[in-house]
Amino acid sequence: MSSQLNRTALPLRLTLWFFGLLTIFPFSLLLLTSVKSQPDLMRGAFVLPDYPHFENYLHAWIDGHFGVYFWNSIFVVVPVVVFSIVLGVLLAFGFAFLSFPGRKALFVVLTIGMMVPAEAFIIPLYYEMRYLGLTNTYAAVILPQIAQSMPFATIFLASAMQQLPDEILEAAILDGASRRHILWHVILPLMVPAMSTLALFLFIWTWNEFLIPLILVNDDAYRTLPLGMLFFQGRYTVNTPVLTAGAVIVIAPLVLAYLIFQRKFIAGLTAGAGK
Amino acid sequence: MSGLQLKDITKSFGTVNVIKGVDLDVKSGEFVVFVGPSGCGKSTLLRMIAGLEDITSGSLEIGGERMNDVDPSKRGIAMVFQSYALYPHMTVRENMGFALRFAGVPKPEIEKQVLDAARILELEPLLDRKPKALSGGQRQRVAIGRAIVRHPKVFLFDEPLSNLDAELRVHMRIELAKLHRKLGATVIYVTHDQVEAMTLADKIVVLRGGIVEQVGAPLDLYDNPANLFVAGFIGSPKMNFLKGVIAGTEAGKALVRLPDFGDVTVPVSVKATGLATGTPVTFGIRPEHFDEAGSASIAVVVDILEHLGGETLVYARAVSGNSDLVTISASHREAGKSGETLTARFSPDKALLFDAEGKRIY
Amino acid sequence: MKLRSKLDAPVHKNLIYILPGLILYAAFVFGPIVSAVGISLTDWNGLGLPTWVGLQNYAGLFSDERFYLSLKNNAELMVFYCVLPLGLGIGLAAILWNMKPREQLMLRTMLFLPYIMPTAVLGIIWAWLYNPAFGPINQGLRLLGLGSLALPWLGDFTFVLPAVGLVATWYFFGFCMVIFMSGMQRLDPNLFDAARVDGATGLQTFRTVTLPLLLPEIRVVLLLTVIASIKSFDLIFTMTRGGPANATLVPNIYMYQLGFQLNRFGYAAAVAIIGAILIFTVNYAIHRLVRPADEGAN
Repeated sequence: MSSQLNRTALPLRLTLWFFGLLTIFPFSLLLLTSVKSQPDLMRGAFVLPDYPHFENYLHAWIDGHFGVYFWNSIFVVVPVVVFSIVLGVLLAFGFAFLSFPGRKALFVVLTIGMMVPAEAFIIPLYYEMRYLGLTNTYAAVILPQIAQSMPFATIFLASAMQQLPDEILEAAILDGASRRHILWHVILPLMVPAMSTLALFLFIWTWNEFLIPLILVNDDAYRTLPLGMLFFQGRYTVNTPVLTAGAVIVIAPLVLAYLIFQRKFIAGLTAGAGK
Repeated sequence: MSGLQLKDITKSFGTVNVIKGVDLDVKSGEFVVFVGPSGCGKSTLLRMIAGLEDITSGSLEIGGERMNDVDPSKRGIAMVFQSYALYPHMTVRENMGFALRFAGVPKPEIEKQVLDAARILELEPLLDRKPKALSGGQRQRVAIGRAIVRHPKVFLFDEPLSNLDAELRVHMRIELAKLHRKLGATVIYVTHDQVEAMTLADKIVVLRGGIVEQVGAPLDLYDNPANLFVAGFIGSPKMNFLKGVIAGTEAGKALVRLPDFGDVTVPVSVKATGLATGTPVTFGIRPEHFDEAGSASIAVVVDILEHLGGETLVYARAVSGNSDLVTISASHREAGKSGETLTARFSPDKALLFDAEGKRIY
Repeated sequence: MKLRSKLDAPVHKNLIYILPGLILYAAFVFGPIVSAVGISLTDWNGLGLPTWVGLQNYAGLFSDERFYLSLKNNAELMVFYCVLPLGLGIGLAAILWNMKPREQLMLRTMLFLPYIMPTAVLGIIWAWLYNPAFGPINQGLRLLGLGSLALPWLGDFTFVLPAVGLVATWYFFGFCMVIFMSGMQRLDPNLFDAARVDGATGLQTFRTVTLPLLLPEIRVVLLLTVIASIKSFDLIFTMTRGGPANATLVPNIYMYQLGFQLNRFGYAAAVAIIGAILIFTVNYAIHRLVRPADEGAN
């Protein structure tokens, strides 16, 4: 492997760079357009503005309600991530180490939920929320998403728990720790890497979720960013600079998280692929 | 400190019996080694004593108290695991004090205990490190320290040296022996390495297939193995087993004919009487018991020589060519050449006889 | 097993750990899934009581041309969701794999970027890029003197499906590449040395050694992209809503139209259930058909 390193032929490298630039080209254009004025834009999509119009972001944030959407996204993402992990840890502990009737059947039921897309049960979910009087609340968006993360969180964490060395847990048993203590003081600290990878995934999935808020919320005051973007587009079709500024607001936290945790993210994503 | 009694202990997983009735008496302060090939049940037996495996039947007493159903942490034992099982997120200090936290020991007392143990094991400078920042030998010492602070009645070791390199293993073996002398603790130690067993044990328990084959002091097992298995397992290089036939008896001796070696007849001292002529036996002689002053001899052809420096191992066959390899340990280097015929002398007093079932004929 | 018994306790003490999560899951995922099956067996406008109609909705789907159209569109989209990203991903991974770590990291970072984005927002962005009048793509084409190619991409009955599909390709190929890269890193480098000693060229090595050994990754990629194509909703909803003239209609968009626009909830649920069944079938098929090359060796 090492002998071949650095000897990739130039045409092949150029191909790769071509695709690389193709991938980020829309994002660069987005960033460029978000600091243009309307007249700048009229002069052409690839023309640079005389000076950056950061006021587009202000317009998006205030007039475009992106500020509201942003905070809504935060209000939704934080509880979804936190509760999914807490409940996921408990469930994973149960499935990894405890016995209870119907253990296998319940596990199958959980995995079904991982495969069935939300689209398949959004209709009953919508009516359930209406019946519970929860439509147009944060709960309408939060509760189903926690429930939906249960299968993945459980399977992900349970397999991480089962990979803990048996001897460590046995040592803790010999040390006289109660099982609550073992869970909190031995298992949990060792699970921090797995939990933070999970948190990263859940953050991205929840931030990006479209269908659930689309169907379960129609009050603008509860819309999350992707939804807000859609409805903003409906209201101001022509104000492209502000629209692109809004898009930047939606994706900036994702890009930030991605750049910071890239390794963790890709490692987590590819971990299961080889099996 | 206190002793430990196993009475007819058995263990089965479903219909598979892995421990088939073990009786054992361990005295206070004794260093007992469970040894045997992999799968013999030695680790299972240790884990049953620890309480990590349920006991199917029989009774386990520690310090005279029945412990079968007592929680592992309340049996008065401490265990050192093969992988050390240190908590990677805790410092050495926290690792060592972890069990005491649950025993309700007050903080200053925990600190004192940990420091005491650290002093014994020379771990003081490492107390605030995490396991990741320690070498293999240091981790091993922390694992032992964690056991020491609990002042257990019995220490359990599960192949504790198998993750160390050869040099460190010898070093830690000596350390363990010293530590045992210093603490005077009761120790049960599992290993598959008969050298560890021989050097550390006051008493060796040889296990095979879930059964105790023999219990005894190391040299006792070496000199007086109860059967073929123990004879072959204890001692390195292995004892030679030659095909033999009883050719007759005379005053306290059995005359054994070795058909592969030109029907040489060797008189072996046995107490047993009534050995019928023609009974097939196994004739055992250790490589190191070949000796030029011996009164008996067999003729062999040298196959391969291994020069170890201090001694030379000669691997040879019967002149007829149809025997197994015989290993001869010679003290001088000019023990022969490959292909050369050699007369290997030995003293018949050192030879052992085993019957067709592998049991020793005393 | 032995460990479990030590951490285990009587059932009533264990339930504290599993009940909160399971109840939530039952209430907002599993319950609705079961209800969806139930609703699909009824005729329901969302207001009154549902009328039991048995399998009539499913029977209706068999003669529903629009449903067939949505399946056909979905099948065509799979070329863009699965085939192209898979091919591109594996090819690019093979190139990237030999590059300097720094360059590798930069390219990987770039190529993977779309995958973390919300597809709904990507749809809106691409709708703008594709805009016939002031969209950057057509402006670019005109600048290059290719004005005749400046089509109304999303309004053109013929080109809309590939136009939407290419966005999916753009979204997935970097992800596929990363999966394949990690697969290649998993392989024993000595294998490639051995192949070279055996006289195989780079391309032959790729075909005879790399590709068969990457079957586990190919399986994962196929699984994820095929399922994503069957689930596709966000991207199409924000770009075309299934139009023009149903040229990009897929089952989930059809389900949305039937349910939330036409109030035919029973029929819509039947479409959704068929989608879920398709996903299960594909999952099963891929697990059965795409087996790692070293399986069965022992």
